[in-house]
Amino acid sequence: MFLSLLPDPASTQAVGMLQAALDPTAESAAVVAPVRGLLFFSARGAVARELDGWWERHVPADARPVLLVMDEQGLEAHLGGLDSEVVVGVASDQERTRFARHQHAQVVVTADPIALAEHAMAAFPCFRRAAPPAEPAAGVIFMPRLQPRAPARVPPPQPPEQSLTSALPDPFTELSILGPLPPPERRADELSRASLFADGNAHVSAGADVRPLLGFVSRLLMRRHRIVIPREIGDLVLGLHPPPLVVVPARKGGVGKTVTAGAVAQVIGYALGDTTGSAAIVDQNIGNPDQWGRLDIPATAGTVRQLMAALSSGLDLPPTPAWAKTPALGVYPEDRAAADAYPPGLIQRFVQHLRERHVFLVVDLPNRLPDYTTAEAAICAAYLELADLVILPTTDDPSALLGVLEYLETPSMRGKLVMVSYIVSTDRELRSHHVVTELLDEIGKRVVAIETVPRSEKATLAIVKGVSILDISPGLRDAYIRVTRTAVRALAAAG
Amino acid sequence: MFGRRSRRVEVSPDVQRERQIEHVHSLTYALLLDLVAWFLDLREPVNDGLFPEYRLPQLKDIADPRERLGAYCSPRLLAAWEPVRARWLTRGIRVKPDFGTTATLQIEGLDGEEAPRAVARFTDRSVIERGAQRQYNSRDWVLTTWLRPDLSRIEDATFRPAGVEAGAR
Repeated sequence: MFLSLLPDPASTQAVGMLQAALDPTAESAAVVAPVRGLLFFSARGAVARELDGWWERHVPADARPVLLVMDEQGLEAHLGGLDSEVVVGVASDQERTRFARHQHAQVVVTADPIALAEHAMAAFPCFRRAAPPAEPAAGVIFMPRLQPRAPARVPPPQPPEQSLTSALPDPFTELSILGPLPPPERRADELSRASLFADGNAHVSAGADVRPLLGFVSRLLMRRHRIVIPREIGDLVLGLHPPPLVVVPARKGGVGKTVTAGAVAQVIGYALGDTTGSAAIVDQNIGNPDQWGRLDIPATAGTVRQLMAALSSGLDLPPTPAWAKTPALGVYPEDRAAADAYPPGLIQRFVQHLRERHVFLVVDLPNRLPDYTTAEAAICAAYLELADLVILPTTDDPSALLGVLEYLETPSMRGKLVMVSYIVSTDRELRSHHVVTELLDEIGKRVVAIETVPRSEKATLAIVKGVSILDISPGLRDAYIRVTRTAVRALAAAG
Repeated sequence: MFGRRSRRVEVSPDVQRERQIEHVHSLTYALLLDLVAWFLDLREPVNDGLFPEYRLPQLKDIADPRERLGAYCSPRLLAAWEPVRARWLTRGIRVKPDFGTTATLQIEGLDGEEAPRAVARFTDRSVIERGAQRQYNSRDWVLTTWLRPDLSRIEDATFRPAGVEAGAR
């Protein structure tokens, strides 16, 4: 019995492949689990009970279950005591050691869920063996659809794959031996004035630092707003793979959570300019419609709730998100009437959906500690499970700082990359008070960075005027650029 | 607060830019298809039904993929690839080409400040056979092409496995 915990959309394809290849006499089957990835093992409370029920319905007691799952941080901790076999796709050989003590885990170095399914087909005897090689069909080349608006993301360097010397070569392996062409030799009469001052080499080598250039529209916008985003941010974002999910929750209201989420997303949107990538800002602050509700988002903009409904029922997806003025930022508002949580599996599919369309995701979460007791808390828990980075905003109000510590202590935050965006009071006595500094010291020990943001009434003015916080004050703009740069650096360093 | 106002603003209203992107898209797609056809010695016109994204109509009816490549690739590039192809053909390897269902394409330098460059990333899922040996490929590749500033032809192109730094050969 093969259970796919692989991410969408590959999961469906993988299960289709497995089913098609199963030997009919083996009485086996392949199914997609309702919850994928690590969440399948780590679910608690109602979700765990649902999964137990699902398991009883789908996995016969005498079956030999085989789980197919892609590696996630901490996965190995959940495999002890499992009476199933597990086939895990890991990013590199080094990751194999994490699973060494699990005899029932087969570890395959691959980032491709389909390759993992193919491995299972080769490794388990219940699949039909390949017939003797037939002559490959001549003239048919399966070509991909090129997506000019999707980013060509380069994943973290992997060790060279299986020894190419023992594998059959393909045309690309042969061609990859060639480097870029050397620059053409110029005749004397072709020497330009420029070449007298440069090296005359107009060719851009593959190793050169070629950076995305900003397009005409973006440059106009940037000139008008005088918003200059360090190039480093865009470069780092385009190198992150898969697209990171950054969540901004808080224990306490009034600490600038929505402002922080919006500003970070907007900085990324500017940084991406008119590269083919875009960022997304998602409103999941379901308990506080006042914040996003004050924003002038078109009534026709599709909401997260509509998108979730379409994803869960297979209906047509709602219109593309409302695009903010920022060059490359998609806005996903929530239904103002939304009060219910979404199932974790659906949130996982939603995030996967966003990851296929954007290169950076920011989610504004409710002011709740993560657990499964209320809708807002469950939303926090589900997104935290998937988050690559958590930004906890705070002020120097001691109760807000204690709220940060309280958040850091929740089980959902275990092993998470966390930074703090700290709005500093203009009152010197307050910001240097020993209670504040001691709490900050304690927080500082437990997060990757604390970035300061000046307290400014301009933030409120931005809401009142309905303009971007990046446009309203150079001080705030610079501060949120720093927050964003730190976030992106932390993500890049975490790999 | 985030500048989300009452009107939606398109990412790029620049029609000229759209055309440039479309053209680079067409050249990149054509390069991948024609190059593989050339290596496999498939001498057939491009089938519209099979390859609807092959948008170089003036070349579709040409059966020889080398001739098609010659229409939009620099002679120096094709000359560099010739010996690689010749060596490949002597290996007696059969290929059932499959490059997945989607690929990504990033285009840079359309502002004219640097050489236009396109980076396509695709997955090779081809089946490779020699004798009774069969291999199922599953590997991501990055195809980088450098174009003339007027986008009239591809001046250079390289293939490298995804995850290997450019230039790290």
